[in-house]
Amino acid sequence: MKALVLAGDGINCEVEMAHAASKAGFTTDTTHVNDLIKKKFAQDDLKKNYRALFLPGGFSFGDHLGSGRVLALKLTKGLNWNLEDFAANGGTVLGVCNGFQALIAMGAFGKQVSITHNIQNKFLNRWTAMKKFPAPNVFLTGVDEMYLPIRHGEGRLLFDSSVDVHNSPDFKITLQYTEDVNGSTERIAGLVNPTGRIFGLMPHPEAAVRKSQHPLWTQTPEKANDEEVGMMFFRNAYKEASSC
Amino acid sequence: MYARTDVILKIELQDPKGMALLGKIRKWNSGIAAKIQSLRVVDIFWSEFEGDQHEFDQLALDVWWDQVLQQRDWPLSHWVVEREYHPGMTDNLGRTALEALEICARRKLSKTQVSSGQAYLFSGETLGREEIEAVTSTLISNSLIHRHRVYSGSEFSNYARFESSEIGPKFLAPGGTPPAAQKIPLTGMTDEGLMQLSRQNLLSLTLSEMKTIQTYFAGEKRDPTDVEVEVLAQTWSEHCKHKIFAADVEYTEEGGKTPPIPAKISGLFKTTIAGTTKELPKPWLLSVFKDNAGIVAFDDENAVCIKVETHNSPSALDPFGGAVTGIVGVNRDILGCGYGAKPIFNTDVFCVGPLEMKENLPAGIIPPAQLLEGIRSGVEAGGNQSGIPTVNGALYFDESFIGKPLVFCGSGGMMPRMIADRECAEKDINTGDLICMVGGRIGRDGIHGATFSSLEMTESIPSSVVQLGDPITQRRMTDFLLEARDRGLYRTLTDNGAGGLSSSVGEMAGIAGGARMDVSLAKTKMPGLKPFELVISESQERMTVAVPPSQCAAFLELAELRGVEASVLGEFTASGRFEIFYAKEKVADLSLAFLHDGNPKLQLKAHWAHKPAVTTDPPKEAKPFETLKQILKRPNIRSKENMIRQYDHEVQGRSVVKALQTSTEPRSTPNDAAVLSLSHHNFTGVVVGCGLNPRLSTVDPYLMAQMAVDEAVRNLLAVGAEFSLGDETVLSLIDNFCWPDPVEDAAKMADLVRACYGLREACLALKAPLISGKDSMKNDYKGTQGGQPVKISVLPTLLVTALGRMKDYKKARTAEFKMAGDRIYKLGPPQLGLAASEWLALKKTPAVVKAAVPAWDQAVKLYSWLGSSESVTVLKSAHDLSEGGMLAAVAESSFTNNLGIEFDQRLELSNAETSFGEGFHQFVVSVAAEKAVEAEELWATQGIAFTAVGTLTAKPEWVWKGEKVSVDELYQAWHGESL
Repeated sequence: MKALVLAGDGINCEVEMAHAASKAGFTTDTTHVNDLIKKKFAQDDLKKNYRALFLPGGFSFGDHLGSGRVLALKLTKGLNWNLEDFAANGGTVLGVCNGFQALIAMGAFGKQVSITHNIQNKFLNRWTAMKKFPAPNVFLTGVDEMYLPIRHGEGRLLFDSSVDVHNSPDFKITLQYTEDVNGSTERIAGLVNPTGRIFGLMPHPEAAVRKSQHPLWTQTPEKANDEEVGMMFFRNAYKEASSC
Repeated sequence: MYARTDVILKIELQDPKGMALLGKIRKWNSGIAAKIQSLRVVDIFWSEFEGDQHEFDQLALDVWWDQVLQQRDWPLSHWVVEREYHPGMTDNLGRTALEALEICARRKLSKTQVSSGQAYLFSGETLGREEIEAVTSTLISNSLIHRHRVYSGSEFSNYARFESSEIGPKFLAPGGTPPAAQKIPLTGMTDEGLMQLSRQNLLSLTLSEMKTIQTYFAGEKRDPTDVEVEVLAQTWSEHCKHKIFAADVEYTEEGGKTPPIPAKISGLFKTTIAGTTKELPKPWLLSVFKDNAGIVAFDDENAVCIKVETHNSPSALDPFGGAVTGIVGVNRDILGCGYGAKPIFNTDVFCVGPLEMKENLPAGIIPPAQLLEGIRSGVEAGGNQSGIPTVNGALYFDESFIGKPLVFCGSGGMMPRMIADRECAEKDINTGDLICMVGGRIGRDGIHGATFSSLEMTESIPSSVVQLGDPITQRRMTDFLLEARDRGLYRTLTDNGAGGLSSSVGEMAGIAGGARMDVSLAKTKMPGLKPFELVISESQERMTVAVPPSQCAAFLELAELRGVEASVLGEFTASGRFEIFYAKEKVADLSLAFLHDGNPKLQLKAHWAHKPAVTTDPPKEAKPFETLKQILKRPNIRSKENMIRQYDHEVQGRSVVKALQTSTEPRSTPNDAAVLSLSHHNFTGVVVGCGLNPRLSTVDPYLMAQMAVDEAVRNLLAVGAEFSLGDETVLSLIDNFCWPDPVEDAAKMADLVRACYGLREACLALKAPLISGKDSMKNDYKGTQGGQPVKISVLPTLLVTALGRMKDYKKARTAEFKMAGDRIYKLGPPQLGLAASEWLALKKTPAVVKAAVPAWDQAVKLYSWLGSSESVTVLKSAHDLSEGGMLAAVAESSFTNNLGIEFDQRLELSNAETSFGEGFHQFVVSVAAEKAVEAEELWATQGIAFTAVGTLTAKPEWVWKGEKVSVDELYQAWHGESL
């Protein structure tokens, strides 16, 4: 079961992303975007070779001109993948932080959503509580409430005033912070496409795969060997990929 | 064609950038801030585009337009400030915009230029032009980097900004003057002439050095070129050559000799630093002092390297740019260490003036509050964008840092011990290997950085020394070079830092036996750079790589595929000379022997005037808990959470122990050191911490240095790092000296000598070798304050960074108290002192108080136990007792779980030394009630001094005799104005 992890141009979290994916069972290819473009790695190649696509966090192109924006341009102009079609044919897509921002800029959740600077205008690294929203999401089977690290300066989701965020044909709200951490509309932490197979979120599941990453793990040292909740995202993705 | 693109946030959306700037203005001048009704920021892009209007408009939609966030119309305002970069300055937004245009145009746009800037829209009827100018020059526009224009609302509406490029940034014209090397007529030049030359060209060479150069070229029977003089100035600069640490020192002391320090020292570095490590030949030391970073074996597969740099002078001029280039610069030391390493963490330590100092500052000095925010955001940008977690640091306030701040940037990396069948620490070059410059281009930015930082600060500085960082270019270069390393595409590499090519190629030529290069082949940011500028420019994000000719094609091909620029400049030779060409013209030809070893040794005098050792009755504290609240508010102790959370400290997924131990409340207890996982595939832990106590220099730098070592090691032990005197445990230290110029000052030189011997004594006592270090010796400001001439020198400061190991990071400890009923103890010898303490600084009394002194034999007993697996099963928490003394440490440990304390009645908290005394080898720990007896017996049998402090209670209140205070009050004091 193969998964593609994107790298290059300031993507930073490809190693821990690939680690989590392979721990869940995937055979991972961590590939520089330039290599895909050079190979003209088209839609059919993507579908033929991979069951999951992971867009890791980072600072692609330094977040200049808008976080994820130039990476999205490069993927769209250079590869022109149709992620809906990939997902409809048994694939799953996970975009974390900068990967989520790129998915938004690529239009994976429609044209009427954008993401910009936190209301505090600050980068923020903290663990925070969030809750799953009632929407299909193959990554969140058996997960409801969770505590995950956020590490971003641009996590404030904004929508065109004409959009009803609870009833859009382009996306569903799937993850919500329990408190307002960055000014995001309706405290949204993550979006999913209507079929629940293309998932983007600001928090970092790949940085919450072992208990000893949790900020309070030393209060229960006997659990130091346990897995942390982020690992569920990848195990679910693997189950889904295997079942199709 | 010319085009201007304004990126305007919809007026109905809140503008975080504008609000944040308004917040800064409020902090700086509440009067002006009160007059501002609204402040919004617009991004501007000026383009010189090679296609037609129609094509540009199409591309611009893709590159800039966002229908959800943006509007077309320019919002009305009373004032508009436009800011842009000086020509040739690093402009990351502009560069990315050009790349985005190329992506969308699907072709290279080699004749197109894009320059970025901002417009600041101020609304407020009563705002005057002078006030807008004041805000702009203080908080928006740094004249070394930016140009700005102020428009009234009506002036702006008359400004046809889309029509012409007359106003706005000047694009660089192609072509430029054909550069040439100048001859410098040294022959027969008088002493005054030589010194004038040194001053005028910022060479910062002394007369004897200038004469040595004169004599050398007399021997060569010719005059030098400006290139040769500049290359020598860079290589011989204090910054690169560490002449003070190499000097012959004559040390005298009043009264008795404590400790025994020789009267004649031939090189402090050789005798007290490298010499100390020689006496500690640990089997796991792979490379010490000879490379860009020290390298230590961590397990059979992996090695860890570490380096800490200072970037004081650049940060004093441009805090943001100085700090970015400081952090990405030290990352290149890691990348360029041995055969190449991957950076896995950053550290940062700042020493700055008190934040409340705003008015009547010395001329040309940036107020501490702005300065701190600038350097903090610089380290944030450099680390976060590069995907390197910033995991440990410190912040220290003292008036002596007002003239020149200290900005320490550290980084650690990992490398496989064997790469392509070669030892990772290896650095060999073969004759015929090609000299390849990789990464950024050469510009006029960062010329004379090395020599400039070897001078004191004055009011007038050339803007050419300023550098801006470009983390993304460096990130691409890093990925590329590590990939090339693993594919064996190069022989070795080093950083282009201070001195630029003259230093990097000069050093590598030292290994190879010679070098020949043509700098006209180097890629440049702008036309018309002179040969000497090409050679010494410190433009960032560049590495110099030795590439075997057989691999060159593959190396360059991979570079192009990774979007990294590389240019072959020449080859390494066996000529024993450093030869530089500009096209056909030979512009330098220096003997390597002279270049590297030709500079005359300094002869320095050091005299230590004994300070009287004092002992008195310890002062009393009527209301210890009230005083504690004051102590917890002090900037050196106060919560740093606001800063810490703006650093990405978890990227790469290695985090095990974080800077803060935070509950879901959230409430935080600060941890003492960071623990990281070395690899996703085993449980080896990397532990990093630091120690410094500059104020102790006022008592005795000999103590200050030992305290720095002790605190750094204590911080490691608190979180569970291994320790023993044997070879089986790994603990190494990094020294960073920041000193006021001691060359003409025997007292300051004596401070340095005593610090070095203190460092040596502590290292030998703990059998902890020094593996890398750096010194910055010109931390003085000379200028005027209120018209009067002033000189401000920093406190003699030694930062010690400690790198330790855990075989199993799942045994790590943290600082917070865990549960009601647990017992609290202070571990360590009873002796504490108030000299140079936070308590003394708070009380501002001239009270004569005693200074704590180390007891290394007792320390070793305690540390060996803390560093053993036995302590893991006994201790539930451990926290270093440092600034603020025992009560401050106990308070911090109480915060996370909001636990109260019933203090032990025998404890004399009314004795200021007990409550607030600071000293060596001290910890506050907690133990489960049922283990208390066992623990006490264990400590007694091992000769470990301990004091019962009290018992944790569920009720969040401290009780001692009549005294009471709620943990919440203490937390508010500590965290209320988090820095």
